Amino acid sequence: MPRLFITSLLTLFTMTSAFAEDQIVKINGAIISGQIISEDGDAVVLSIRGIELRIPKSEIREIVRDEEDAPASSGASKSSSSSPMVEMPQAEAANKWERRMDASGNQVPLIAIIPVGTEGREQVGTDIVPEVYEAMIPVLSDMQPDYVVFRVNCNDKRENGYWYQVKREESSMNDFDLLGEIADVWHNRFEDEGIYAQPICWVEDAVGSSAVLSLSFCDLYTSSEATIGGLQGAAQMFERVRNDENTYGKYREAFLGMFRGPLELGRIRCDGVGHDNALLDALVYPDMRLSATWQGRSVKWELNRQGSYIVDDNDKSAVEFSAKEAGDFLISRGMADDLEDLLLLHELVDFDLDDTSCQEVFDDYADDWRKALSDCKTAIEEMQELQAGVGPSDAMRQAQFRLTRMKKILRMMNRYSAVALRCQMEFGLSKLGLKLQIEQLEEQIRAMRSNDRGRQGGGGGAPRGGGRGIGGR
Amino acid sequence: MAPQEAADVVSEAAESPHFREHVESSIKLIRLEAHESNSMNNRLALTVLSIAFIAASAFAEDIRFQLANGGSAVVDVASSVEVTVLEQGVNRTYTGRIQGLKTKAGKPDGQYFMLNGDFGRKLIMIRDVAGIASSDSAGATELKDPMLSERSPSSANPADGEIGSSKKQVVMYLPLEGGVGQEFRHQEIVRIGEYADELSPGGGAIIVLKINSNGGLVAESIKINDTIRDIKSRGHRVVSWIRKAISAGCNTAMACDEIVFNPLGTAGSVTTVRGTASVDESQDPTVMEHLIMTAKESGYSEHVARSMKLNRYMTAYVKDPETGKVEWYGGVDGNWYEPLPEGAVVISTKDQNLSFNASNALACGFSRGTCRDLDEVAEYLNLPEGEWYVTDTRGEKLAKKWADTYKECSERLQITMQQWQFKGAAEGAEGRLQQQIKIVREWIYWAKKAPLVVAMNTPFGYEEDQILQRLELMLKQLQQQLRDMRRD
Repeated sequence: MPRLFITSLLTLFTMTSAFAEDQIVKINGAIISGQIISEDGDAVVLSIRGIELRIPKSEIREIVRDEEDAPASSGASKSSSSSPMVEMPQAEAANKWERRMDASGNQVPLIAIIPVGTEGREQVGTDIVPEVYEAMIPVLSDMQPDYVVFRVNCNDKRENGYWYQVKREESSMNDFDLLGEIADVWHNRFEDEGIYAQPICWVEDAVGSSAVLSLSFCDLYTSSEATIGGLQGAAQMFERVRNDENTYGKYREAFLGMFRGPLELGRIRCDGVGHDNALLDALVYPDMRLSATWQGRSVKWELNRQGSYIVDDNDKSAVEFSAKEAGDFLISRGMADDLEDLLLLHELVDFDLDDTSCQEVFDDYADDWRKALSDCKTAIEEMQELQAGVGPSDAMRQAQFRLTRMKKILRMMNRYSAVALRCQMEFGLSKLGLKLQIEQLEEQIRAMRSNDRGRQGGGGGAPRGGGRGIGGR
Repeated sequence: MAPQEAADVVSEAAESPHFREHVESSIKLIRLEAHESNSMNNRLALTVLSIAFIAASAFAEDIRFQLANGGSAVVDVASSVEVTVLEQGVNRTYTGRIQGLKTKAGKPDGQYFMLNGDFGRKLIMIRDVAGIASSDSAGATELKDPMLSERSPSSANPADGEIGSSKKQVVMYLPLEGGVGQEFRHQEIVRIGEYADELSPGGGAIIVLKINSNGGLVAESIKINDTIRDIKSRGHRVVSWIRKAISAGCNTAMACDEIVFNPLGTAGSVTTVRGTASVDESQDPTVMEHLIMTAKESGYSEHVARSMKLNRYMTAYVKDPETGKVEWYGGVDGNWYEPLPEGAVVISTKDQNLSFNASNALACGFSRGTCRDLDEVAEYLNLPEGEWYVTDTRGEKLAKKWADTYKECSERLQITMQQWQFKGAAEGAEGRLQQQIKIVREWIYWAKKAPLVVAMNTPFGYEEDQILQRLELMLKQLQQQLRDMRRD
């Protein structure tokens, strides 16, 4: 019987202090940002990137404290702002995956499960990104599994359409290179980092971009209820240039070229065995016909009706495959509804299973960026409420209230690519735009202070544009 | 299970038939590899070429590790061993017990063993082993690889201008990534050509251009092609390694002597677009003519060029199964210029723009190879030992310097454009004017460093060659306004 590994594998670092940022407004108008680490009757000590600065209170006009704690860091440790990393104490890592021998003295195979979605609602582009799989590398390097099972459960369909149609602000798959980058981590980076496990793909659902990723594996299996397809949304991206056939043709083929990349890589990794580009083309474009001809243990795909079986003969919708069809057309090598069945198909009866380590990395990343996004939304709502009269009443405090929140949003956007993407889609916020709004607001605050001090010359007045920004809609 | 018990179990396993089977399969695999490839993955030139049992007893298993330099070591895997590993250019020695030797199918250089010692447990790739000896057996000879002295940290990463070996093939590498005319421009290619001349006077250098671009400006693309043509004419070999070569990026790739693909690579879709409208031959014949000229100069079929430019052109090929020779066929609007022979492969129909992937590019000879990483590029280029190196690192530095400059310039332009609206307002009209003068001075600074980027990212509508002059004029006008204001 499989032995289940201990689930709690990761010691996670908290870096709450990295989020907090206080501001000291000096009498001369200068604003210094950092973290207040101590304060006494005479001075405030501020830490700025590890450097401590003692500022006499006689020079301080105002102290603006970061009003909120950092997001609870339930997730993976983040040692840098852009690339979450997972670290494990050396001693724990060394003992975690002690290998077991069977009665014949052979090492019992170790299987690691790598999630590609969990509940089906995770999205390629936010939850399923190269960073999250890069963060699994240290874990897998220590574990040295014999097999990795990529468990795909990612379905872009919602009750009333695809999620990117239902909720446009969640349209995240606009980075055409992303699929190639993910496939590169799975098929190249893992091995470059010394992880030589045999990959198996097990599809519970691959509807949307995850279908392309799944087809990068030759050793592909499905559950009995699985669907592979749902890619036609990708084809709609270029509808706006449809009236110029050459422009449309250029974009369409360039895009397909990028989409085909993971399949090409997969075929090379499988010594030529793998999935045909024609199959992918038909999965993406509704206007493509598809027919199949069985040739021994393989299928020849053609984008016409000339094959021995016509798979798709309409130009209204792109093809998709049920589990049974995927099996019939040899896209999958078999059906399995649980892991034991799946591994039995590989003649693996006695094995050790780690289905938690990579899952934790995946879940932590998803939880962290969603929490950060939620904090950003709260900050935006607070700024909107400020416009409606809720919050501080005087102009200076209002500006500082907005400034603190904008800086917080920018920190989250810098930290998580998914937050930057969603803030862009939902609120039209870019990092650069936000930086500018912050700068404008700081300018406005300086002007207000100048006015207060009566140093304003004749021609000033409030600056234009004055930092209403994201709170001011 | 206590750690020592676990170690004992594994040591027993090392003596087991299963372990022997592992090693024997390694031998087969490696021998096969030695036949099939003379250079595969010899990253350190120390790669173990064969591992063989030389003796077996009830208590020990001796394994011969044979190194690429001809030396070998016999170690008793059941006893303690001393392993010297080259790590980031430095030799480190670890003492411990080998706990298992693994070989991964399909990965001849993927063999490794676990070494258990005072330092803990360490995975050691066999290809990284510089020397190995049984540490508690008298008389065991520790191997030293004669090449180790050449692989000191400094020689592993030659400094600027330093040539590791004057007899070695000169290899330069320039990554070209981003928009053509923006991050990706001809100036860096001119410089890499000059470096190649310096290091290999009279020609003979290999310049690898990594291409990763969605395309860009036609005018810049023409300058790039002229530059590459010029470098080729000086006797250097220019190789493009394609991750993504769309549109103008493909035009660049086709100007090179040869093309190799990354497995994820794609190239083509060279249609000229203004706004969202395509430009056909009746509107501007030169864009098609230029691509055809580039294709012909580099030995590609003009049908390929036409199909990459406009949908209506069709392309097919027939490959002789024996000689591998490729015959090209073209057509337009659904009609082939001559009947297609049996077995012809149509790669672009009348409704399709042509874009290649690694497999079909290789099949028809558009690409000469598929290389996952630079080590595989080295193999393709047949570099000594199939090992990737650059003669000096100026190409990478050149690319990074421009990428950093471009990023800073484009970000500063966006910021200062916005600042133009409000900066200095708190200090009144004079303060505002002073800030605007400061901003124009910054634009002038960038116009000197990156005129095309400034021309493309500012709203003045000035051409690249006018931008500096116009900005200097603007500065003079603002300075005059400031003087007038102060006089008033």
